[in-house]
Amino acid sequence: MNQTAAEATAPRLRLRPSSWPAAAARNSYVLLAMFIALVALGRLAGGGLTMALAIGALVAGWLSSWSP
Amino acid sequence: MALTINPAGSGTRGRWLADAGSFFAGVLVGALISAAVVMGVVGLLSLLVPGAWLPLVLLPLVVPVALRELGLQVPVPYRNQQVPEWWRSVLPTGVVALAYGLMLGVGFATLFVTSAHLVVLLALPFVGSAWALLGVVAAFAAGKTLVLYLAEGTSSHGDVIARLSVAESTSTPSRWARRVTGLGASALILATLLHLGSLS
Repeated sequence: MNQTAAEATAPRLRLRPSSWPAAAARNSYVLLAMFIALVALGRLAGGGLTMALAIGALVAGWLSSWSP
Repeated sequence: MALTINPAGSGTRGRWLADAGSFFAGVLVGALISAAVVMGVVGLLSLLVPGAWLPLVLLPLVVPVALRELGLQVPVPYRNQQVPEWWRSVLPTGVVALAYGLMLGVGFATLFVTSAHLVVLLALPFVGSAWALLGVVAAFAAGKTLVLYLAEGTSSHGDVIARLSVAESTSTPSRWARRVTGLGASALILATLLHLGSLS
């Protein structure tokens, strides 16, 4: 397949398969999935305010570690 | 932050891990400073408002940040600037990691990202023990530091940039995934807090 000049000079923004585990550290869907999993685990464990706060704090920290 | 604290910037993998540790410590201390200020204010407020009503009194403070997270341009008490770029060129990486950690740990000294940050801080005074409080703040610091794993196995800044999926972070579904997560975390904390308030 021929590559256009624009394609040749465009920055490579897509993830390479080998970097997927590390790139998950900055992925919105991984963050959402982790939040849902933690809430489910928290409910199973019968967690109270401290558990809710710990989940919220982890999410707040992770989410705010990258700018929009 | 992974563009500043990465194996190439630190020199070796060992130094990178130490710098990540400095960043974590900085975030922890910065967040504890914010927590102390909020707890002081809530403590003063508790002299005027009965304990069971305190969570309800704090609730209006959450409204602007929740609206901002939904994309509305509502004023929020956050500085609309990133960490100072020039620190990277005048300070050693370990010191920069600690200083950036402190600034980001305080939270209000940089850009607003999620309502969950303020909600967590407002709920901290209602945690029963100092160890539980420290655990919550450590969870916040761990979450902030997690993004540095992005640089794992890289050998240049170019490698780190290649891992930043701009397509993922700017797409509309991704934006909503982040909003749902942040607002979900805020709602979870507030629901638990109000439930506890109604029991007391």
